[in-house]
Amino acid sequence: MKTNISEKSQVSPVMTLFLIHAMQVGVGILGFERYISAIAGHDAWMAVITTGISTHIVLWIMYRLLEKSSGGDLIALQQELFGKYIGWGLNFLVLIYFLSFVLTILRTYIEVIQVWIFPEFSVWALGFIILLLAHSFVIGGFRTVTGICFLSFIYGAPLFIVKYFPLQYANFSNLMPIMEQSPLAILKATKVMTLSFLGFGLFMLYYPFIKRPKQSKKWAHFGLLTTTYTYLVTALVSYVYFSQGQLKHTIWSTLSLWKIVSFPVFERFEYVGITIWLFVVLPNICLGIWAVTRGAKLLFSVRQKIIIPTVLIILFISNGLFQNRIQVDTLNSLISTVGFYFLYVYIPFIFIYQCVLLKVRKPS
Amino acid sequence: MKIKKLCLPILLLFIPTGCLHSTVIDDIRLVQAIGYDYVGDDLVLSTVAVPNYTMGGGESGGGPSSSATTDSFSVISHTGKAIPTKMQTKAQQPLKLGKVNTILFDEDLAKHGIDDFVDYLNRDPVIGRKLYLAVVDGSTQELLSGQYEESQAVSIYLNDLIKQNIKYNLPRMNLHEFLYSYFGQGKDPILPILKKSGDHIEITGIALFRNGKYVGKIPIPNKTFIFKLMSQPFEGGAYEFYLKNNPSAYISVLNTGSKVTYSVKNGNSASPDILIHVKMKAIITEAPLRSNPKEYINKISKAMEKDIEKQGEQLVEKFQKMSVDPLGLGAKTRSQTRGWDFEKWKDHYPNADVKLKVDIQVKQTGITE
Repeated sequence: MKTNISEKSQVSPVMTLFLIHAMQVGVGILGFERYISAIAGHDAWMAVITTGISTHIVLWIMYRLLEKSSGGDLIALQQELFGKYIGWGLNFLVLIYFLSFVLTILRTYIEVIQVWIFPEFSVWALGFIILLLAHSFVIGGFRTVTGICFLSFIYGAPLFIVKYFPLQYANFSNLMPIMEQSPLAILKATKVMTLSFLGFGLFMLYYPFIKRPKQSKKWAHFGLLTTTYTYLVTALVSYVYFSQGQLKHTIWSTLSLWKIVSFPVFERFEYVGITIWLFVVLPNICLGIWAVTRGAKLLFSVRQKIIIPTVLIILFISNGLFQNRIQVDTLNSLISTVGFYFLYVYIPFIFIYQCVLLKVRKPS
Repeated sequence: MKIKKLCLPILLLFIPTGCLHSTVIDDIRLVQAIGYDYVGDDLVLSTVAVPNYTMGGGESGGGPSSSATTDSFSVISHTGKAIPTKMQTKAQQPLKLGKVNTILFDEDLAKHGIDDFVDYLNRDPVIGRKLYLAVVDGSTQELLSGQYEESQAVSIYLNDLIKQNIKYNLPRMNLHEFLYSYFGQGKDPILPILKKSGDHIEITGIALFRNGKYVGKIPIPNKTFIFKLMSQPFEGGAYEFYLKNNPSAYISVLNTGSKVTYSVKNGNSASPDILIHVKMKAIITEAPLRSNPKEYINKISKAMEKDIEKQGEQLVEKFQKMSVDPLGLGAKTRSQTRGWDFEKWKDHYPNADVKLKVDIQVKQTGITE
């Protein structure tokens, strides 16, 4: 089952950086600080670094897996390793996971809009608008989706500069004494932290769309490094700006941080920030939908034209069914747990499985 | 063909536009200051000040100038946190809280505790973080509905007053700083105290809080200057002191840059040693002429160092007796002590041995010598 992608629809290796980075930075970055500091206190920022390192290892495994498989993506790989029927079932589960992943991002962003800007805006209407927008990108194919990933990087970058404002209120002594927590606590926080880095799992689906995969390695790791850097700065700024007790009461620390930002033209930055954030969230949704439709196309042998509307309608309906914060929170923690096991347990497992399988098959 | 394809999405986009209330700036009233007065059990008198912008005649030749008067509304209700529904019945147009820049509590309410209000301010996304909270000596209703010599709206007057004082005389305190200390461990929040006197408003000191309750104050101006020296680096602010003998005179100096460092030893013991080290650069602005300036300047700075050290230590002793920690000595100790325990610290704090060391470097003496 060799998937041949014409060069016309492939993207250059450099784009891997944006594809990976854009998919990792989504809604998680708005409020991950309090979850890790609940475990590791003011040392929690170290968990960001250890998580960053762990993603590099997983990415290395992914490259090894895909290079050795003949098909080139996760769908082909699983069928190759586990046979037609089990492989098909596993692929289906993976697609369900990616679909729920998109749903989580979409629904969480809508929640942010509802809480911060428009409390009376219905989930259905917002979901409709965002999905309509996503649709216009997804039908453009992978190159268009890559384009929006790149643009999201450009649009999101100014939000980083805004961190200067909270730094005026920084208490750097909040970070002292360093390494007060036990390494175990930091490891536990690392597990929680991985949840914000999950997005790069999609890499296994769009891998065949990258020209000269060997060259893309460097850029993919750069992508992960950029993400780690982004999260690290975000965490550090939050820890020097908020006191630990205050952080406990703050759901979206990045958004609360924007409350202190002020420009002469607009008094309250969070409204501007949340609006710009659409462009940070959009590639997550687009790339996710694209990957699901791509997988479904291979799995069901149907044309993508039929699958895209189907996937969007499924998303639209399931999105509307989540009506309050508790449900959204449950969805979030469920998907993150599944995602953690997918990347950190399942991927290494099939790596070992593949190694063994290749060794066994070789002599014959 | 392409246009046909585009039509449907564009048409669909119009559907959700009817879903929202729009708030047009001309059809709402923006509340800028809120005051809460304690009335009795669970009853709070809330007052809001809403600037009323009217177009001026444009007499200066440029564009139309605008001036503002203030409308204020007051109602008594059980919870004063947001704008009570009762208040909306008094207003011509809906009152919105997005531009609130000052929130006042009267002394009685502050003494009874403002925890409910703090919870509300932290929770509502509409509330910013740069706004000022303040305690009012007297009634907030009177203060907000009063007429002042300044021609601006009272809310803007209040905000400017606090803002400029924070730059030079008072430590930084806005809502963010308040929440930071209120929720954090090892630091207690502070607020400025305002008072209406005639057709002016003045700041009379700093209110000390313990767990959302107002428990004491630092009077302005010298004590607050020393307090600011100990709590953060800053420039500006004048210090005046009386130099005894040879010759006795009032000396005043201007701070042109100060730094403060804390060093803590034995943070977990029953009496931690804390050294507060202040380094200040100063300009002498007022002093009698002397024939030997160098020696004289030396003398002044030595005397002033002694004076600030003494007063600063007295101030900290006062805090310790009241067991409030507005300087954040607890947080400073935590950052320099492994395994710091907040509960134990509460017992140890009154016994802490706090020393203040001040180094003053006189840079200039103005344009005379």
